[in-house]
Amino acid sequence: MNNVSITTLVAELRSGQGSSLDLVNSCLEAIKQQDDVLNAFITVFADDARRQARNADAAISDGHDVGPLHGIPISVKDMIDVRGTRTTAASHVRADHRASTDAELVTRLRQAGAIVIGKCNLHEFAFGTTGYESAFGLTRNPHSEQRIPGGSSSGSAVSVATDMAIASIGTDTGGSIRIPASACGVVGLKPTHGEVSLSGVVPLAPTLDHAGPLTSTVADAQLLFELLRQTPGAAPKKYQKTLDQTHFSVPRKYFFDKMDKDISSIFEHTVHTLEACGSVVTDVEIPHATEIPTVYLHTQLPEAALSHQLTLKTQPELYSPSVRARLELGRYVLAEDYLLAQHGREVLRREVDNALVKSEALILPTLPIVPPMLGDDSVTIDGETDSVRALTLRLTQLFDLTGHPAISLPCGRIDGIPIGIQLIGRRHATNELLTLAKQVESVINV
Amino acid sequence: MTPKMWYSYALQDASRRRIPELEPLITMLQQATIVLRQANWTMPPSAKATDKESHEPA
Repeated sequence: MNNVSITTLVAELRSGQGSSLDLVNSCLEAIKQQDDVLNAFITVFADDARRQARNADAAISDGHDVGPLHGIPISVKDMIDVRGTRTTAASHVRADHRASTDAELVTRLRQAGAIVIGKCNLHEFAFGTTGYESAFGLTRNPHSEQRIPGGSSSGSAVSVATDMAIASIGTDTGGSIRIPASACGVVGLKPTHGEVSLSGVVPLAPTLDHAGPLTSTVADAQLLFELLRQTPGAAPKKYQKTLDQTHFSVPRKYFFDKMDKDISSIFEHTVHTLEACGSVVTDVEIPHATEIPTVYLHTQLPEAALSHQLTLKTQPELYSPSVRARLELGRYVLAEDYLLAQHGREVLRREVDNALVKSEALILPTLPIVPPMLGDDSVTIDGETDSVRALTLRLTQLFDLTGHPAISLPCGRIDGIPIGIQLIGRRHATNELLTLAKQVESVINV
Repeated sequence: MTPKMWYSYALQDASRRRIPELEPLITMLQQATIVLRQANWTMPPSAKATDKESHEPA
């Protein structure tokens, strides 16, 4: 099933070569076989998914076709409301929650014919990059069970990597779609900020929050993005150039200062592959890159504290200690520093815009380190030790601050562990980025 | 408020509220605040208008 596109699967269903019930049962069997160990799901809708699959198969027999996701089982991160079910955000704080309506993005999936097969585990409240802190237990990397799967959309990435779902929807506030996508060897798209509705999605830091797909192929990510896109107006244009007409820029300063040597090596190999295809690859500078973490910190922390203002006061003991401590920290950020960070954010946005004037996309690894072992708090590179949190966010958080679309796709492996490459496009040109990413995907041998 | 004064107040408040886990985080935030305030945040010129316009939403 892996790497078979959704379009192909739907075509097979329509032609009678397969059934939605077979697909759903296959995913449920994968969950049964693997999820006791991997822990990708918080809730599985087995009976409801089978019922919907039978209905989808009957509809095809009757000549009715709901849409491009007809009968396709998809998982969603448990930050996203599904009518009549709990949205836990992987926290005891929301143990009693029940969603009265579907999130808008779930409505769009259902209108296209998708079957929501279950809700995926995550780092509590999406406030972490490891998938280690969850009221429902940690999630494991399917390629090495002693390593983190990345987060916060940990279960979403694992579900796609292991055929427990054909695709998943995650959220990304500092890299939470792209980081687990990279660590688990799947595709993860963070669209331009605002392109996918967050109505019915638990907020973390509203000006940074994004929702987007995790899939086996870039084509699937593009299909899902086009269905989820809420931007009014005509469909965005697609990228017209071929790789030999494409200019990539590499922001080396800061981004490559702390990087595993094997990841650098795989990245340079990818660059050589693109150059062999005729692409031009040059370096570019983001002048304020070294200030990215402080701008991010002074933006995310107070916004997250505001999102949790009530429950931090009324039930602080229900948070895991590390998540609670960081949420509490947000209450100490001064207004003048938040506002200065917003000015810095605009400076960074212009710098990324300027870096994309002469090139079609920025290119860099998604993670500077191989996914660490479960429980590791820090990693040492060239004798310098940094927190896992800081390192995992290092190459992704800028584009949540600036809102540029970014996609992670698999580009190699180190000792069997997947490594991702990240492409960043111009704002509001997500579809162009996806079309370019399909070309890159086609020339990278993973 | 200077970062030094803020740091002192924040530590006292965390102690009063009995959240000792906050102390190293407050120290980290103080260092980040110093970096934020010391940076030169001169706004760069925006990208060429013609290029930007071609990538606004259709």
